Amino acid sequence: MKNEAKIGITVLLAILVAIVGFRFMRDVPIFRQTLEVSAVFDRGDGINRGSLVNLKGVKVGSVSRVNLTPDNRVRVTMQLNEDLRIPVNSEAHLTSLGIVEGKSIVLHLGDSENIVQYGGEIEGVYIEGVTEVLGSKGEELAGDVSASLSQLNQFLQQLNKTLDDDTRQSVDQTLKNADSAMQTIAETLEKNKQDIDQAISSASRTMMQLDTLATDNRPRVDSLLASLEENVNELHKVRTELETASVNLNQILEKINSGEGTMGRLVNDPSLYENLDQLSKEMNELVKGINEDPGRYLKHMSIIEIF
Amino acid sequence: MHYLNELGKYSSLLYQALRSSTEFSTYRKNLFQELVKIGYDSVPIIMLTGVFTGSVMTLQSAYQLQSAFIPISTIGAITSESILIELAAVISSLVLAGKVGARVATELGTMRVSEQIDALESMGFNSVSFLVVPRVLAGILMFPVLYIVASVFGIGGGVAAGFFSGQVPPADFLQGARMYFYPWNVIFGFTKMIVFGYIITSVACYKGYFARGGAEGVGKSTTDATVLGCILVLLADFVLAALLL
Repeated sequence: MKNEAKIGITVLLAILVAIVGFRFMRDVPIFRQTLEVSAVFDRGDGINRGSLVNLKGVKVGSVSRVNLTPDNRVRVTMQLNEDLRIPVNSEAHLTSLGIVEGKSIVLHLGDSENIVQYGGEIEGVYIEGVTEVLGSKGEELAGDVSASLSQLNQFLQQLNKTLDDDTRQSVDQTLKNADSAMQTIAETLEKNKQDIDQAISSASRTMMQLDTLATDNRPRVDSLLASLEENVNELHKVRTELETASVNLNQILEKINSGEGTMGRLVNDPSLYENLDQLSKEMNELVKGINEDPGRYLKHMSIIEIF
Repeated sequence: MHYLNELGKYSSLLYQALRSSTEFSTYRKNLFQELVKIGYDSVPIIMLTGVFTGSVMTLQSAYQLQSAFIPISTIGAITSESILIELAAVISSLVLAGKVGARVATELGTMRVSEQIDALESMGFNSVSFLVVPRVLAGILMFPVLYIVASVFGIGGGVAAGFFSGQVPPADFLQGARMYFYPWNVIFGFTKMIVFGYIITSVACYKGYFARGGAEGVGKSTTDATVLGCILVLLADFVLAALLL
């Protein structure tokens, strides 16, 4: 290879690598465009170029510029993934991800239909971190703690005062009384030790007897339980049969109600009753007629014929 | 008095070189040769230097920052910034003082003691334009290129060392590196490299050009060129940091 070619290759590669490396270190996508979006915050503590921009915990870009606006607020310009679609009413929160971690920007997407264009701006919200809140609340907290401590001190002093010699003596006396009471209890226990022992041993015997009783009668109890179980099974069968019977009865009653079959007609059709009624009336008349003039009906019948 | 003398000779040599730097046709061929020798041929050793600088830097920062209250990305920030500002330029230059400076001083010294330079002069050649100008110019042009190589391989070596040792995940490393990446640092690195390139080559040319006393003199001039080059590089590093940061 000629010297010129070698130099050319070296220099060209170096320049290429330098440009790619520069863009890489600035966190600008090497071969792609980005979506530039800015947000204005009240303060910009802890945010630098290169700080991360998160969306739901996923890194979507980084901060490329931080500068003051004419009205003394902080404009943070971010380079985001080009294909990100951010509604115009989204918010950028400047917050810290952890106690140790530095600040970063967290995007909260809005619900607007309109999408932020290149160079657009979204709302910025500065969220105070734990240390800042502690810093501002620290004095209050310290005051509270000191007040509590002085109160505690006073209380202890009062307690000390209250505990003069008399009180101390009475406390002492109380403790002594308690001590003697305990001693009495101990003595009583000592005296009645045998009785207590006996009571415990008899109770234990009773328990043992109960146990043997239960063991001896075990087979009987078992068989009893088995037969009970059989009975229950039988009952179950009976119940099922009854159920089917009641179903059948229901069907029959339904048929009767709807006027099907003999019974149905009997129940539902009034003509039989009317006929019977008519018949009985006529029978009445007939009987009446016979009573009034028996000869008229019986004249053709000789006694012999009848009997 | 001796040092003032030396400084005077050095300055007059470089003044001559500057005056004859317009005679491009005289040193054109030599310039390309030197560009290859200083730039192209030095790339492998600079790569190696860069990789080891970066990886050692990462491992040692990780060892030193084993604290729960320091984010792991700090290691990346320290490594990449140290490489861009300081290590890529200075360590490479110290290596090149040995590689380039010694070679240039030996070449010119040998030519001087074997009276080749006198022969050139007697043929009417401008020996400064023919020998000194291309070497110094090649140093000024090629050292920044080598800075790029050293930086890229240094940071790459840092990422690799963090990854393979399991102490710094690449994502954390790069996050830290990006958070503290300022373009001015790169410009500062380039500036340093141009200055160092000039110092190493010009000192080597001076020591070689005025070598005296046969083989022993050549050896002495080579040693001087290397040692003086290294010391001046460190001195210039300090001066630049004081002036530009």
